Amino acid sequence: MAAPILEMRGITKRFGSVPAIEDIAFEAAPGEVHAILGENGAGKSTLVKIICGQYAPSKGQLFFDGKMVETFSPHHARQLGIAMVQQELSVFDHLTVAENLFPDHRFARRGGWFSERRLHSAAAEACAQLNLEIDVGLPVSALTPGQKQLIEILRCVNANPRVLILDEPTSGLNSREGGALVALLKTLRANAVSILYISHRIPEVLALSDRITILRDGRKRETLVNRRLSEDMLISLMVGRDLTGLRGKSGIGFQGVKSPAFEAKGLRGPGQHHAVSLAVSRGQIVGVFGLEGSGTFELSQMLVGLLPRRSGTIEIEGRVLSSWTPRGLNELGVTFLHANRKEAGLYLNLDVSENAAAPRLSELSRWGLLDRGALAEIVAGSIMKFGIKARPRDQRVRHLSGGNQQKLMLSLALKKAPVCFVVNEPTRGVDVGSKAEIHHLLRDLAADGGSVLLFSSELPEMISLASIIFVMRDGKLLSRLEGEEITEERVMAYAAGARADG
Amino acid sequence: MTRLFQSSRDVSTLLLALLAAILALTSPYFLTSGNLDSVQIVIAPNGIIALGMMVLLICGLFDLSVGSSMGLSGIVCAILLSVGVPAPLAILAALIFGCAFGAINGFLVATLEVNPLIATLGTMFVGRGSVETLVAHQSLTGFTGFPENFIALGSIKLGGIYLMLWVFILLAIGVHLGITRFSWGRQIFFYGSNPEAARSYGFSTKRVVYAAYCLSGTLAALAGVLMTARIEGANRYLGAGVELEIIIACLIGGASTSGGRGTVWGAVVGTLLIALTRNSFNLYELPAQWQRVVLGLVLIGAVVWDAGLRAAKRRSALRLAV
Amino acid sequence: MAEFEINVVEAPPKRSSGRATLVFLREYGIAVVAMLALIFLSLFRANFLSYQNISSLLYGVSLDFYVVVGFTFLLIMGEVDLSVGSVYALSGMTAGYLATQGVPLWLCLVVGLAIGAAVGAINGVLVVKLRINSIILTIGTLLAVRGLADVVAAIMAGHRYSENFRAVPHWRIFGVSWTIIVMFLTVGILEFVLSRGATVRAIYYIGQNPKSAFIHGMSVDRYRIGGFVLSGILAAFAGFLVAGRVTIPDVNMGRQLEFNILTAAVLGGASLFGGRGRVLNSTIALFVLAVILNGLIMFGVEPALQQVIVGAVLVSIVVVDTRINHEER
Repeated sequence: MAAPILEMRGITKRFGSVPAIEDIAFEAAPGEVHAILGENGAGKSTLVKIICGQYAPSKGQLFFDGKMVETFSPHHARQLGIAMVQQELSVFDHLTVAENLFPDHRFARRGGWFSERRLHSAAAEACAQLNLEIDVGLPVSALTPGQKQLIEILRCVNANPRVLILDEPTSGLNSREGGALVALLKTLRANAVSILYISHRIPEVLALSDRITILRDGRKRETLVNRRLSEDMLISLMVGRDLTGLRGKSGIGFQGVKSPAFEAKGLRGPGQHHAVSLAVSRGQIVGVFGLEGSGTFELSQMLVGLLPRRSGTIEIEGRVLSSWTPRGLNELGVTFLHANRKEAGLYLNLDVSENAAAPRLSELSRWGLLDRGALAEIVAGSIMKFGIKARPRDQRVRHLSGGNQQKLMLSLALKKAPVCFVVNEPTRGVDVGSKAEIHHLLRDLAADGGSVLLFSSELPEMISLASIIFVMRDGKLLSRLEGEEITEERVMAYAAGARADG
Repeated sequence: MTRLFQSSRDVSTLLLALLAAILALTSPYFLTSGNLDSVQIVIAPNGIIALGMMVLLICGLFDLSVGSSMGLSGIVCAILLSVGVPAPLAILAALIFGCAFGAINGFLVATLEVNPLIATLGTMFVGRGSVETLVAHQSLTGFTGFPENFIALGSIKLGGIYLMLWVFILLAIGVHLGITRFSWGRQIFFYGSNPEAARSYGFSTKRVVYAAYCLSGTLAALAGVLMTARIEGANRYLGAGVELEIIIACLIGGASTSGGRGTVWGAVVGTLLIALTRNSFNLYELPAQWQRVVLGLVLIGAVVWDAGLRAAKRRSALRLAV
Repeated sequence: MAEFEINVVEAPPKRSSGRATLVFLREYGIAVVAMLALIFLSLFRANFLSYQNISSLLYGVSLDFYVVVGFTFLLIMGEVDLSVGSVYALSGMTAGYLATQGVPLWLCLVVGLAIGAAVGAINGVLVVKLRINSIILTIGTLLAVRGLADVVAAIMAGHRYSENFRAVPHWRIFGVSWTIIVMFLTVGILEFVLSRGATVRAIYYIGQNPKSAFIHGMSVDRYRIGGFVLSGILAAFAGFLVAGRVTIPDVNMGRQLEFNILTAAVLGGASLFGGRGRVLNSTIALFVLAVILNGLIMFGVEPALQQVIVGAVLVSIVVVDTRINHEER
């Protein structure tokens, strides 16, 4: 194989004290499709963000064309010929397809006058590469998301990159568009472009790539040449930790009623094709697992009324939910932990005590006034019970550590023992100690007769906590795994599309 | 809904044609040269300011201070003339003044990152107060007594059309070509449509903001100079309240408060529609107070329409996303 | 995963001296300005500290402070209502007009307040339900309602308000104008309720993070619409009092009031980004603004310069507000 365009040696990136990737060696040669495979949070994004200059590594070296890269900025990376197709759409909605394809005005003459005719013919040519039959004079807002995504890819290709990075390029594409994309990538490969392909769709990766690098927990597992590899092999490399001692005991401690505490029937958002139904009983922790883009986040938001729904009902201990808002759910005993504590769930500029009062304003009201004594008791109790390290009155929550913020958010959600607790990413971005405490707390909750519906993108967490796991892919609940059926390999196989419906 | 009526510009064009037809048919005075002249005098300065406002709205920005910039520049020009500065120099100084006024707005918005509405609300207030201060010891008519060649700016006609309207027409063509045919002008659409993405593609976004505010300030100053020449005086009423009319004109002309959309043609149509609406109040001798009510309702209607379109888009985006 | 990396970053306690200075300016700026102005004026202008002057300043503030109260409530929730000046004029003049027609005073008041409530409800429903920028929308209502006020003024042209209507703002209790007493009582009560009241505190949470507030079961939309209605009603009440004070209908009544009120509220520490603000501080700021303007007049400064100064104060305080908000993100 030819000399690598891109080479990483011992690259480490830390955020605070937490390493996101550690000691990575990696290379990409001209004319190859190099796939990067890994679970959620394995470090794929961090890796490519270093390559395209968004992050500077904490340690290690990056070589481009044999020369060491010293400045890390998106601008510099672009100059080197590194282009990345962003996962989030960053198109210019009101502008035409042609202008989106060439935002760099390369058709401008002196003084900036540009010829629309030349722009359009170049754009039409570009579209033809992907068999895209669209009028290049249309505004992008008129296109389907799949078409928009292709426009994004074409824009990067138009910059004639030497390294092209694609992050989940086929999500949102239909099979015809996907086929056209694969054809385009093959042409680029023939033209000596080096393509880095991030995906968790294993069949796709096997069909397309020359080499595959597998990351796990921020470290490189292996780089394999794609010859006689099987899906099972890849999955076992992606997962396969020692999980003994982590297995959950949920559902064992509680011997009460086994009828569902929380049941969603035929739930469907606007424009969704598949209805989702699931149930949780008291004493259980039920997990919903899916890889990015599978629709788990949307489902969790819809369950608690943060996203609109088109059809479906929710029953809580047999009572049908009428007011589909956090407040309505709360009245029936359902509480909710939001996935991103910076976005919602806390008030970062207020102190712990003020935060603690927020969900209890009416309970703490005595003759219309806030009962400060009761609040102080609650705060002291929460700090003890949840192990929050903070001064309650003079420290803004913004300045607490991630773990303490997360525990505070849990204490707000769990102001009283819920019938069902819908938890979203309960340990995202917290330290190991807090993580264990939070897991313990969730298990206790179930053991005391509550029920937990867990959404987490971390597979080990899911497996160690949940006694039943629903696997989601493409907005559909694919399979329900219970007890001994739950293994990392099996869950990942469903989630990554290596297995058909179970 | 057909594609044609996706934009409020098309609705406004239709309304404009309808209103013109109704006025022509029902009012004997509408097509008299006297009336058409007075309509021209309203359109030219407002239209010139609307061009700058349209560019700002495309960028997703606002300028509430255009009326102040207009009044202040007109008065600066008048003061210079009254102390004997030759007309061309006085005009140039007024335009530079307007540009500087715009640059202050640009500084507040681009560099200090203040909300554009509040920033220009403040500069509007400062500007308006300065106008009042400058004319405080003048009579109600303000500064008067200008050289002939300056006054001619406001009264010369070429081919039945006032010079100032020609200026507007030429500027409209110029701005249209600038923002559609030149890469530096197209930048405003990229910026307004998705500022984050524009930044990541290496556009100098601060420069875009500065340029748009300077343009807006300069055009407002030009309108102020022309109006000063037209009414042969600069007084405290010059440009008062004009900003809202201009914003309304642009919004009904198809601009969006969220940026990224807008055309010069839309600014022209909006200005004409507002001018004719006001003209019809005069023609039918309706009480002037109701003009404000109508304008306010039109503004509310335009932002509600705008919000409706955005909500529809959000819904469709949601439907397609999952 | 994209979020994963961002979230691993544990917020390091930011304690830059720049931020400290800004926050100090924000929290105590009003006190400092007030002190300086008071000291300066009482040293250099003998009649400034006269009972006459101070009580007339207080009296003016006691009529207008209702508007700043409503404005502060809205700012705490992150919204702005620029139509208050027009509502103030329309409600005041309409009530005054009805009084000249022999309508009983209480009914005039009710109609005036109803007008304020209606405009507030329109503002609130449109802003909240259609997610329209409140500044732009309320500029529209400012314009439309001002037009209606002009219509009423035109109807009233040449007439005076009736005696009983004009008497209201001049009622006295123990020799002090009742409005001043009511102002102290209202501000005291509101200050207490806003800091200790349980459900009222929701507005701070909504301003800090509306999504968190929604998750925690607060009716965010209802509070916001309520805020607009309250702002309308309070502006209407102030208008009712002020119209009686000016004797004859004035087309300039309440013109640009919104700027002074906005300036006073942000000067008093309410943030344009929501979550912050106190009724007491806003009212003090309104008083300080009145003192400064009064001082300017005493020094023979051109009255028109007042606008320039209010505008400059507004811009500079908003710049500080914006810097703080950036630091906090």
